[in-house]
Amino acid sequence: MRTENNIEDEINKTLNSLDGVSEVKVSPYFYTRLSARMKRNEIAHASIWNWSIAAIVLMVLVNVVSLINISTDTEETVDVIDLMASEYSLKNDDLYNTELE
Amino acid sequence: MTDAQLVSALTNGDEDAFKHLVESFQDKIFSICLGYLKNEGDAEDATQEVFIELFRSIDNFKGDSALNTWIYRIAVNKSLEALRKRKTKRRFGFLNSLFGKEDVVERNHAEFKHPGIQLENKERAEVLFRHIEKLPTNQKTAFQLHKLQELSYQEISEVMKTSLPSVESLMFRAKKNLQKSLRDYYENDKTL
Repeated sequence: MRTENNIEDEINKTLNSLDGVSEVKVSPYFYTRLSARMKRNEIAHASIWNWSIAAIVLMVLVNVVSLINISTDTEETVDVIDLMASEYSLKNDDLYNTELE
Repeated sequence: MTDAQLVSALTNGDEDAFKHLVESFQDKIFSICLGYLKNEGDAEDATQEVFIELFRSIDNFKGDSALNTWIYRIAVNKSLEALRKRKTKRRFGFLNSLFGKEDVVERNHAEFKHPGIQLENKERAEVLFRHIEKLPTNQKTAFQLHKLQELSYQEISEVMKTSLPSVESLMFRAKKNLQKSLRDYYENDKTL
């Protein structure tokens, strides 16, 4: 029969059930598994760095090549514009010097 | 080897010192992680993460507390982090099951049998672990560190970075909550 006393007794026994717990042992060769994981992480970390450096170098190269091309293109574009302007008689350097009548 | 010598050797990347540290603390850390995670595989995984974190952050150890309390603090934090990840995974598992994606089977940790508990106490400990799970995190941490790791209140206060009276209060409230929760359980238990 359920009484206040045996409920109290159960509660106390349950609360004390962790007393005298023995130390739990991690499974054997833990250090070997840990070292292997650390090496794997190191390799992964190193490859992330290598890829990052390669990506940065690639971006710098693309930018440098683009800059060189743009500066060459600008000179060519200016030449073409000058040529077209003179062919269509659009070039009037004296325009701003001409006085309004 | 003293704590200072060990820390100095670790800072210099001494592998033997690291092996010594692992062998000295592996069981204790595994036990802390197991108390939280209730699964030996997950606990070993978290134990490995504790040592990886230690290896990376040994330079941050300033000697304000004892080396062991600093290590236990990392173990508690890593265990809580693993629990948070588990909750997120469970939430995504639930969403996946709603959308009919792969069925994520979550292991049930409710029926946890701690390997270090004496045989005659196994069933009661199982009941107690279920009720410890319901405690707020800081009460659970204080209770488990005291009962499972047998740390003193002073050591617990250093691990939890809190004052001694706070730990006493946490332990008092944890016991009160457990008593109440166990009373409800046993009052509804037909076998008594």
